[in-house]
Amino acid sequence: MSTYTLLYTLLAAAVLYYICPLRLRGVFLLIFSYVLYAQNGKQALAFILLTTLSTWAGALLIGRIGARGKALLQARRAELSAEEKKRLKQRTKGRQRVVFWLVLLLNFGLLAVLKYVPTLPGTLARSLFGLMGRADAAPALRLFVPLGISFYTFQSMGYLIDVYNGKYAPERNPARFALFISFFPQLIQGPIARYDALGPQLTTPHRLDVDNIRRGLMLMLWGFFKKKVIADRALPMVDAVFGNPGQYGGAVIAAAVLMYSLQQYADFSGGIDLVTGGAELMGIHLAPNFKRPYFSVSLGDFWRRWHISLGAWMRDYVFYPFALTRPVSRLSKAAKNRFGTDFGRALPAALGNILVFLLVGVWHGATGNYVAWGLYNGLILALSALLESAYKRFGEHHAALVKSRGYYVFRVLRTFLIVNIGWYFDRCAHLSDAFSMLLRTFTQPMFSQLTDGTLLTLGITGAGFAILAASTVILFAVSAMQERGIGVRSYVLSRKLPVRWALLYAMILFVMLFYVPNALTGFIYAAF
Amino acid sequence: MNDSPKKPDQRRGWLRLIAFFIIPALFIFAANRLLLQTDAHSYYMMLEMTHRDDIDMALVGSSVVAYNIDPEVLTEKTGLTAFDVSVGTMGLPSSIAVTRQLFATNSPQIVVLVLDPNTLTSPEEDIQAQLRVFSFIKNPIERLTYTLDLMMQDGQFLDRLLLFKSQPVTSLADIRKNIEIRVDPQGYAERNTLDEGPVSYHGRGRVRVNLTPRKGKLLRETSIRPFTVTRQKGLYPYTQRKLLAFRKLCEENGARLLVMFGPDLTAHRLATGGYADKYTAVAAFCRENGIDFYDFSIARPEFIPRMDDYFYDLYHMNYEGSQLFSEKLGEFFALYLACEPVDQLFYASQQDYIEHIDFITNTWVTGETQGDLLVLTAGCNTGPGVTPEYRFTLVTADGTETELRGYSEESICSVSCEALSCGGTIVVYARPKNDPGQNPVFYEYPL
Repeated sequence: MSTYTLLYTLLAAAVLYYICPLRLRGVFLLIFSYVLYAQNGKQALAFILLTTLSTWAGALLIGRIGARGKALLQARRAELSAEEKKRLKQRTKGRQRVVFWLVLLLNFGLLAVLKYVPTLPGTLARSLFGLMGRADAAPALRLFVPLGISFYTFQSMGYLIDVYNGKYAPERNPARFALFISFFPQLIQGPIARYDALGPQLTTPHRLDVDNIRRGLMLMLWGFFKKKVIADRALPMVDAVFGNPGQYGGAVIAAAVLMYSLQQYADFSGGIDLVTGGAELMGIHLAPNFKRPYFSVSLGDFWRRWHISLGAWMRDYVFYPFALTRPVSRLSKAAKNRFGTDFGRALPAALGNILVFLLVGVWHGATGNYVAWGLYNGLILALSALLESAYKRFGEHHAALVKSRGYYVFRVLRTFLIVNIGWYFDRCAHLSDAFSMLLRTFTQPMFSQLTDGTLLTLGITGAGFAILAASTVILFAVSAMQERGIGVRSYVLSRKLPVRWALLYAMILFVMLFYVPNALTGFIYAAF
Repeated sequence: MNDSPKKPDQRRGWLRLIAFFIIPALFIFAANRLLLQTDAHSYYMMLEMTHRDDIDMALVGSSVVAYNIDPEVLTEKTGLTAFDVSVGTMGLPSSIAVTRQLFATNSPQIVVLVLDPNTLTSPEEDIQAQLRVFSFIKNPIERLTYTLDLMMQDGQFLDRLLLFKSQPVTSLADIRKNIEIRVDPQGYAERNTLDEGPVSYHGRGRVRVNLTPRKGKLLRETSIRPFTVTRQKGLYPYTQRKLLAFRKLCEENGARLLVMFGPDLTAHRLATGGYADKYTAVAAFCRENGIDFYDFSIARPEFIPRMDDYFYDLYHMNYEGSQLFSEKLGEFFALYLACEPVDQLFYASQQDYIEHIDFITNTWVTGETQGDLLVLTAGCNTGPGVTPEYRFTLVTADGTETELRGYSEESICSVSCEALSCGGTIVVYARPKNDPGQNPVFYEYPL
């Protein structure tokens, strides 16, 4: 879906939403979401319905088993011994567990098959066929991958896990649940929502409120600025260098990686802003998904600010359950005895981070570069966890330094460097390219390419670079304000009318003059 | 994080919000008139068209109409007042919009829709056409539906809203021109004679190309060579809908409709795989839907001689060529309107025409150094029944031409680099083997 299509779909949906009678607005959202999704074909519709219905039915069954067990326990409380009550509870939980795992495996299995089977490493397929002497006959498997399958699978499984854990009761109304899964603004690239936060908002009809409209439009303008002025303008240079890395020296490669860090952030967060702003037009508030990640002071901090909803999902449904499992607890205890309390205490977190980031890497794609990227982040976070007590001691001994501005800047720059090294693996198509580009960055800089006109052959003109620079300054200024706790929209709306309008007109004019036209590019994260 | 400001009074908030958008709307409105470059020829054509009420025969299409068809010649031949309703790059959606404006002030007996194959290679309308046509659509509802239709087709709704970004003014002179041409079009025309370099506007939508004929030079220099374009076969559903809509528009206004293709460079259909498909698809579609259609690109040579030498670029004829074609077109219409048979003037199909091509349209040569030899490989575009033969010569700086190899079917000629050390130009000649009397075509390859 291109930026334009998303923009006018959101605006059209908002208009139609408020034309609908109040009590039918939830129904409208459901129908609109499904009609929109159906444009991707009947197969896509079938898959999302399968996930929706299996999760809804599974959660309902889990709830019913739990309720029945509870009722039985209540009825026979007086006659059962403690041991019998325990066994009854275990039996109930066991039945719930069977349903839970069936639904979980069905949906994650579907995701795995559709997303990853076609990308089995070519060597593996060729190896298998090679054993039969027919390497050339290795088939290229093509499977249909429904749009947004990662996002809606994660969202629905999060709901299932919450119900299984007794966080809230299952939703009885299939239409309400279907709307939660299919709500169109977030289907392409998130944010991944939690049912207790989003569900009630979707079905509560919202009245037209000028404040929602103003704030929603402002956020959409900001998102459009990031996507169409910054991201689409930076894209050609990133594609040119990463598409032909052997042609460029380390300095140009480093410049391209920096450009990628800007482009990716602007593309992803810009898309999220469009979607969030569009939802806000209809009075629906999605959880924030970005929080100025390049102001992070550590890699852990970065991943709590970038794609927040995925990080939170991994934390709540992978990291904590993993860290609290019996084997890991036993390992932690053994490590405590052997290597000390600090190490033993940190080990579950370290292992959890490695697992989480391996999964996140694989979620991006089952190729070497993504696995390496995941491992890279996981290992650094693991190391950070293991060294946490050392950092704490350092902070205690050098309190003044640690609290100083200079140290803060150092930490931000250090984190930025660590993240950007990771982007080599994230952006390259092949692991070998990532290593060779990284190596060349440090061993063959060829600084002359920065000043001999090479940069102007990468799809961005001199004027384009100037616009990018100005846009980055604006982006940085707004982010700095937000980092200081200033809500920019609230700040603008609280100014006197002439000032408010002047700021907004300046922004609109800037976007009108400098957005990249004719580029019907989609969003990077829609591919995941 | 700051708290939200105090919730505004809803009514005041809405009034302010609406007022807020008025200024950008006005800016866009003004910018789309003053800050985009005005195509003077289209402007004057539209102005003239909407101030006339005597147009009997309207030829509607892109610049191929204005450049290639002289309405005065048609008037002379048919007795009907002809007019070129021509806007550069205009495809079907804009043709419909402009023809509506035509019918607002005129009642032509016949509308001739001159299709440009380049506008059929994609269902999307060139934004240049939109920005030329847009301001002439008087009815605001028509303007809105026209614009929305284009936006929905290619999704570029912002680019089509902010037209001034597509072809912005580059100087104050451009802005002055925009103001003058609107405030005092007659005065502007008198002061500027509407001559823009080698082309000039002559009234009735006609654009005259003042370049001297370039016999064969275009094909030599452009060197149309074989390549295959991957395009959807047949007509896009959107194109079909627009053709039917155009027919309906003519029917509603009591005008006969004739759809045609004009002549084009023969080499296009020989070099470009799938080029002729569009012609064939349009012919079939018109036949199925009862629309009169004639393809002047496959006119018999007894009717219209080969026009290749009259093209000064890939799609437009010079003055001499356009006069010649207009004469023939006028003769055709005289017969057609008198209900005389005209099918015999054309080949039955594109394929039939191709099979009758007994000449070479153009030739070329490429060179590759292999050791101490320069290996020259010649090629040409020709009809399927023609066997080409090539001759290679060397022309030195003083004009002396030395034959390197005489005519032969062999397209490869290897020459020692030493023999070429004095420099010069390799010239390859190509002629049909079975008709050595034909003037050969040639290509120059500077060393």
